[in-house]
Amino acid sequence: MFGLVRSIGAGFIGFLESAGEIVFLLLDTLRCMVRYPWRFTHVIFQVHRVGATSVFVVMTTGAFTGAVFATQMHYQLKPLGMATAVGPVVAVSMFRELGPVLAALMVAGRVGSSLAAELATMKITEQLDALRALAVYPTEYLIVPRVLALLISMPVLVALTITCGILAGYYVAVPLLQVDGTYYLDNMYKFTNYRDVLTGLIKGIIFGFIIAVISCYKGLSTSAGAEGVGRATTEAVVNSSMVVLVSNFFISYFLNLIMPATS
Amino acid sequence: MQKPPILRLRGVHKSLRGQHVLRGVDLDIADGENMVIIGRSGGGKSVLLRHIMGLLKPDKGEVWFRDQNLVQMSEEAITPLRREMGMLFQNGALFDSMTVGDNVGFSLVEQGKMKPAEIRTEVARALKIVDLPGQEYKMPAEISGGMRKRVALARAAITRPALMMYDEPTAGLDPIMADSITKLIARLGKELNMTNIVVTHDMVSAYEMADRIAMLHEGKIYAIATAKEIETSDDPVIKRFVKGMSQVSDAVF
Ligand SMILES: Nc1ncnc2c1ncn2[C@@H]1O[C@H](COP(=O)(O)OP(=O)(O)O)[C@@H](O)[C@H]1O
Ligand SMILES: [Mg+2]
Repeated sequence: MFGLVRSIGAGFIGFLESAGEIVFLLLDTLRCMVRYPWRFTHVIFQVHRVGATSVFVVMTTGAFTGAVFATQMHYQLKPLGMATAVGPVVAVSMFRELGPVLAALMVAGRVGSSLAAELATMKITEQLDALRALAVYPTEYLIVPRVLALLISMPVLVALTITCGILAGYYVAVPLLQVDGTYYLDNMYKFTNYRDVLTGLIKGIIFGFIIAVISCYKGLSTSAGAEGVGRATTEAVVNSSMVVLVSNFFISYFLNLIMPATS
Repeated sequence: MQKPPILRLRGVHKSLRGQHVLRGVDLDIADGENMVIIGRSGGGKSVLLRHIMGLLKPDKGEVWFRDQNLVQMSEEAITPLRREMGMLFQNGALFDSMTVGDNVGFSLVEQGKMKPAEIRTEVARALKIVDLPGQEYKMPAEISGGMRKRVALARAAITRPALMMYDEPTAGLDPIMADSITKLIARLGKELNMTNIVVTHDMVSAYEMADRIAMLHEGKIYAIATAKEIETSDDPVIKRFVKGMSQVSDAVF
């Protein structure tokens, strides 16, 4: 009984400790972004690495989610005589929720794991210490370009996910399920607006930041050995996915207060 | 040696994972001196070098580089100071995503004072000095452990820092290469007036390059003396180490 209390206590303290360290890394990163000149070649390299190679993955995810969503919505809405409402339903949910969250989960899996594994390996092979010994501040050299790359890539990836989802929804609903194309598009335009687009992009940027900082933190704070690298990688993916999902609710809540979905 | 010490350690304590590795290290190193640190494997020599670089902070004690106490400085404030220090890590610690040439030229690129062509020339020259001419485009994974070590040496020394630290520079090298590295370290010390701190188990090279030898034993500097004095010492701990006599039981598996 006492042991249980103690291990819960230790777990809680550990959680607070790493939360504090993540906040420190976050602030340090922001400070270094302002304080040092940006390493553009590094940023471009990282954009290619995290962004360009994720394009196919998020497009596929977006397209098939849009397709299946349109199908299900069609079967729900058609009996009510509202088949053309599939258009705005797919579009608004893609813009506001599905696009950013799906892109973030895919990026957390692909990019979060690779960032964490890379930094963890650098740490256990003393490359991080070598960097420090060569008079370079690791946050500035390693973390800032990676965070910037995700901040740049994520909105683009989210936009691609949304586009593919909406297009796939259209091509499933209109030719395949024989919904009236003109009304479908008309309703879609009528019920979506710039606030939906903005919501998706804002979420994309925030999620990119979350994934980058958590994954970099997990990599930098790894313990010794190959097992430590494995654990850092897993935790980077799991933790950043969870934080994305949880924070998504709160972001939605607040964005709905300032930019309501109803037109 | 009348010059003020470039480095002063006072009562440095450090525990790592509950293990009390350094137990009050006091050490003065004079400007331009060649100091060799010897001691049992696992005795904390690498940990000691990390404290001198500010890569680790002591639990207690002071580390003075010139007139600055590294213990009280933030990581970011220590960073520029490290331009005056160089360190050869025990396993090289090369950046494995960069070519050998980019590793060696790393500091020159970071300092941004030279043109790319000048850096290439410097890198080629440095690689020639460590007997690896024309290996610029290899990746660290493609070269042997001994070669990696020499690349790391070139990377650390290319900016000619005032204080160089070498963590077992000759371990894993063949005797001829070991001798040439020993001579190179001694020559860098003499010609560029570098202060050298060399951790080594190789007593031949220790006697060859040391002005003084310090022995780290049980977390403290057990003895510090000239090479000659260490060689002829009667102290049982020193004698056992330099003559390489073990105290293991005679049981076999
Ligand atoms: N990062 C670390 N974490 C935990 N223990 C460490 C770490 N680095 C070194 N140690 C421990 O400190 C002791 C001294 O290590 P080290 O300085 O590498 O010895 P050596 O004299 O052979 O260079 C060893 O017992 C080692 O287990
Ligand atoms: Mg060592």
